[in-house]
Amino acid sequence: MLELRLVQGNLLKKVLEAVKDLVTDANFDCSSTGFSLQAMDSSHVALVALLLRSEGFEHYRCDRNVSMGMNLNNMAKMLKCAGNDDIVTIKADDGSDTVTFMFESPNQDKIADFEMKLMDIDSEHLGIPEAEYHAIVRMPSSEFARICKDLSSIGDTVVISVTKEGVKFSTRGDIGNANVVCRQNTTVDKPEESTTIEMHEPVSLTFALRYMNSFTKATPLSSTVTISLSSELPVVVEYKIAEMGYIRFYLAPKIEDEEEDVKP
Amino acid sequence: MGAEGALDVQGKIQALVADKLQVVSYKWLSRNFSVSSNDAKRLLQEFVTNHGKGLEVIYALSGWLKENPDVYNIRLVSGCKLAEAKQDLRGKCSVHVYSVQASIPKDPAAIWNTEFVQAEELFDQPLTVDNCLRDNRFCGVSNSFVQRNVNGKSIAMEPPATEISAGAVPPKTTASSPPFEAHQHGLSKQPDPMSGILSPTAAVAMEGNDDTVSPKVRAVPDNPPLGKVKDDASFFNKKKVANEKTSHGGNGRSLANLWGRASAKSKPEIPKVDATNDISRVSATSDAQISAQEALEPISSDDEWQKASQKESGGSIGRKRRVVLDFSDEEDEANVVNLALPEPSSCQSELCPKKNTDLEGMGFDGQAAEKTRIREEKASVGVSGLSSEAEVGRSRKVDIDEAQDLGPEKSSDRNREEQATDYVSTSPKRAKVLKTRIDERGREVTEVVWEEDAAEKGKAATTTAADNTSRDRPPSAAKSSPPAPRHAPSVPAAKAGGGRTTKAGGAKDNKQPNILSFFKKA
Repeated sequence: MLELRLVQGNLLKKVLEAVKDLVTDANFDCSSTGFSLQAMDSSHVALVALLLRSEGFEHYRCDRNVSMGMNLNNMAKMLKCAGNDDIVTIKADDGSDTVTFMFESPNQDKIADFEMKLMDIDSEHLGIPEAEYHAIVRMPSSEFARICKDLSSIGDTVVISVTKEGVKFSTRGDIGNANVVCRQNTTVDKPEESTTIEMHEPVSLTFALRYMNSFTKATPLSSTVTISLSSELPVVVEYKIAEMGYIRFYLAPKIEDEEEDVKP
Repeated sequence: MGAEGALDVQGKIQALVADKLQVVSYKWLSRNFSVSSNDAKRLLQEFVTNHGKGLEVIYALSGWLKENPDVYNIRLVSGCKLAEAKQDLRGKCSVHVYSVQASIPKDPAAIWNTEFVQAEELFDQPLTVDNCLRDNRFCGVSNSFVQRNVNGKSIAMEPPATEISAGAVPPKTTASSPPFEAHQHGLSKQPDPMSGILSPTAAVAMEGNDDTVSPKVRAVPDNPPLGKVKDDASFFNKKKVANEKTSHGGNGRSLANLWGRASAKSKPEIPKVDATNDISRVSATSDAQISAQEALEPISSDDEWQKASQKESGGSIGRKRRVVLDFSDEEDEANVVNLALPEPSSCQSELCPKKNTDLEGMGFDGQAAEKTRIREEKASVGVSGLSSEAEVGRSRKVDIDEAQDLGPEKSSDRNREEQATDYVSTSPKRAKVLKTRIDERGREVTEVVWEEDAAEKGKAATTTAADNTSRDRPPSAAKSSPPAPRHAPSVPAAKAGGGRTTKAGGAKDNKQPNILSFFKKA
């Protein structure tokens, strides 16, 4: 028996919007610690890890660990039927091949039940080691989304370089080059607008903007984004989810070669 | 109604009463088959004499009471009690069949239930649709406040009759119990104040729906005075009645009216429309309006021959639209396949780009996609039907215009562009295979490799991963990818920045390592 009641139902909606473009099918794992998901995109280049801790739910009942395979597009369709202020309850019976989403309006005058079929997905769970990152950049998520969007109109890849100066996003394409530098900026009155850089070593890595752009679909979840970089490790783009968890995107850096001569 | 028609109706009544166990009253009959109430009564009477066995008949009996000569009494009595009831009346009395049913219902309300539903439906039609209830068309009694539409009859006869499934009762009687209703009827002998026919507007609108020729729809004469007074009356009696309210019947037409309103907005641009009045515009049913608009949109911007071709293609628009929806429901994979297929072999070079615009736009803006569809259709007709080069050239120009139309929408939506990129970049993927090996650092590397490249790679197995990716593969990618971009996504490619997108597919795979090379399976 599984019953998870989330008062901020729109969090779940946003989570699905953030993930569904990257991953089509995924297993949601429920344990006593929380509701989590780990999945790779179809080309196995990016990985998304989601955690919603049990404390964040108003009511969390999970008798035993359950893994529920869902088509994220279908799940998103169902969650789209929930109002933004609705309370969402996820319910599943032991051994059932369906999951039920219940949407209650805030004043309890409307209750909707959506039952969705589960699917069998054999996914490999990857162990993600804790790592020390060379550089951790924290910046407004909207700013990051804007940069990725802008750069993707010029090039396919972004080089993220962190130095003492700040973090530089650069791209080059057929029509020209673009560089965006964000300096450290710790405004005390509005911490969510500040840009902070923790750097142990300068890093410069190249990533596919296509993926970065799909990560930024999580922007509505959090006003800040944390980008953790280490050479020879995938970048981690993390959005906190309202004190109760996070959504992390991992993306393998592109292999840089001598010159970008491949570009025609 | 001729004898043949009558026979036909009799069969239908039989089916309704015997199979569907419906109560068939003369009012319902009148509205449903668009006959006058007197004819309906006659039909029922005939039916009772011919097929009456085993059925229960309810008669409406009216006359002056014996015991209280001042009171004119109308009552509904079942067949068996008819003679008995007649005893209570003085002198001559009038009798007619009120309804026929399989059995006498326990709840008297059941007798007028179907006609009540029918009436509701009729009243729920927009005010501008002058249906038979509003203009009192079939009633035996005329009302000085209600003008009858005699002409409407012939128009409405054909298609709509079957559409109305249930019976209607005039507003006054809806509030009353059956006896009262009967009373009202008895007084006048044929009191049915209204009866069932669809308004001319509705009927013609349906015609328009069928053949997609729009101007007809607007040419329909409207009858504003008709039913206007009646409408007021109906408002008093039925608060429910609202102009745009859809009927409970859910027969699609009324819902269509809602949609019709939206499309009505663009109509004033079209000169032809101005000739007709607003009411008819609103009242035309949506399907007709939509198709009308489809037809008109190009007309407003294009020329004669296009108009003609539009009409010709009208029939297939619906089918095409369905195809578009199918596409949009499919996963990206499917789109990729579709894009990559060399299907446009029949498709001339200038048509291809448009196909792509369609595919791109469809998920996001149905209308845009639809527009594109229509124009595509047009263009194809132009190309195939007209050999003159000038005209072909013009059709091309239209395409460009339209592409520009779509442009802003497209750029406003990043997603879409991204998707377009996806299509392009993923399309060559079909030719790739997954290869896993251990590299010199002892990491397990799973790579996406071009299939035809596999042999080549085998030879170069000793080189490092970086070497492989940077040197060996680009040529192969270049080798195998051209077919796809050349055929399918010429427009998205052009839109999203030419070679950049196509290159993204190849370059990504060359230099993008797998995440599995960083994280081990748990």
